Amino acid sequence: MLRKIGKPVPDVPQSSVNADDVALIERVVAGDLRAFETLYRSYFPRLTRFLERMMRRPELVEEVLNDTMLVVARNAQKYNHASKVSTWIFAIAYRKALKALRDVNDPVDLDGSLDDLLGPDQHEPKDEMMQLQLRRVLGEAVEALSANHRAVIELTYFQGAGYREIADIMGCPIETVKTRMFHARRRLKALLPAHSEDLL
Amino acid sequence: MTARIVNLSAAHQNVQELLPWFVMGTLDEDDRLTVDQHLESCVACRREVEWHEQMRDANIAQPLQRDADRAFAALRARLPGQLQAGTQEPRARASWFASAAEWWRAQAAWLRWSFALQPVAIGALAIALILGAGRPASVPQGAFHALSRTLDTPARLVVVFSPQATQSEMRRVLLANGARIVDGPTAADAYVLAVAPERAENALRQLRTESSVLLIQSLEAEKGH
Repeated sequence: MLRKIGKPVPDVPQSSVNADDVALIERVVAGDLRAFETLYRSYFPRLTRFLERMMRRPELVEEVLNDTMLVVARNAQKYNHASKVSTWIFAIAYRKALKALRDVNDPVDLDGSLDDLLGPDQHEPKDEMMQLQLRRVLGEAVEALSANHRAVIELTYFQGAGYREIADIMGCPIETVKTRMFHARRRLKALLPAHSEDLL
Repeated sequence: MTARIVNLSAAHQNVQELLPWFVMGTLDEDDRLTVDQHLESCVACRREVEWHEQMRDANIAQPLQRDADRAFAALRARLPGQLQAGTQEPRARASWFASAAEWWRAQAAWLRWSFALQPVAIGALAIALILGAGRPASVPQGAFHALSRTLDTPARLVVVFSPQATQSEMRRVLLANGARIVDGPTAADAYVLAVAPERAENALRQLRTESSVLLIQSLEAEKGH
C-alpha cells in the first residue's frame, strides 16, 4: 500500500500568493521606508539561506542580498503582478548571485568533485557513524553540485517553490528546471558513498 | 507494441521528473493525479519517492546566523532618496511638532535617553552651582558624577568597531579595559559600553589607541570644563 505522500509539508515555507507582500511593495513605491524594512526583514532569512546554499561563498551573501533588495527598492514600481512577489525577488537574487559568482570566476554550471570536500576516510564511514554522518555527507554532496543545480535543489526542497515558479526565478524553460533537477539527482547518486545511498 | 513500450517509458520518465515537487506538494492537480496513478503500478518510482522524502527531510544545512539589523543599516545609506527621506507613508505636510516627534522615535533608545537626560543634568548642575556659590572652599570635592546617577553606576561609552574587527579582538579590547557591552549594535553599528567610573577616563584614552576602534566617545558629561 502506498504511503500518504505528495501532501504539503507544514514546516516548509509554501510559496502561496502573499497579499501582504503586494501591499508592502505598493507602499515601497509610495516611498514608505518602514514598509521596505518590513519586506527586507521578512525576506532576510529566506534569501540568506538561498544565497548561502547556491553560492557557497558566505562572505558574499550579505552583499548580494543587499544588492538584491536595493534593486527591489529602486524598481518596486516595475513589479507587474504577473508573478508572486517572492518569485520576483528570488529571480533578482538568483541573477545577482550568478553575477557575483562570475565576478569571482566561480563557474556556475560546473559540478565539483566530492574529493574536494571529503577526506579519504569519509568515503566509507563506519556503520555506527553512518547515520550521524549521513546528513553532513548529503550536504557536502549537494555542495559539489553546480550553482544552478544547487539553486534548483534549494528552491525545490527548502523554499517550497514549484517547478513553474523556479523556471520564472531562473529565467529558463520548465523543461530545463526538470532536467536540472533530474541531473542533480543522478549526480548526487554518483557522489554519495555507496552505503549512504543505501540509507537514503 | 513497440509504440506502447515507448509511451510507457516516456510516462515513467515524465513522472520521475515530477517526483521532487510531488513530494513537496507543489504540483498542480493534473500533475499530482498523473503521479498518483503511476505510483500505483511502479515500484521504482515509489522507491524514488522515498529518496526525495529523505532529501526533503534532511534539512542538510542550517544557514549561518546573520545580523539583519546590521545588514539593513549597511543598505540604508544606499537606498534611493525617496525612501531615505521618509519613514512614513506619504501624506500631507506634517506639522513641525509631528516631524520632531517622528525624528525622536527614529533615534536609538540609548540616544533618546541621552538627549532626555542632558537638560536634566545641566539643570541640576546649574542649581548645584548656584546653591554652592556661597559655601566655603573647604567643602570636600569628590570625583565627578552625573547627578542623575548613583556613585556606583558604571560610566557609559559608545564605541564603533572596525568592520574587520573579529569577535576575539573585540573581546580582548573589552577585557583589557574592564568594559562590557550593555546595548547595541544600534542602527549605526555602535555599541554602548559600561565601565567602572574610576576606569572610565583611562578606558576612553586606551580605546582611542586601538586600531579596531573607529569611534569612541563618552556618554557622560565632561568633567568640569
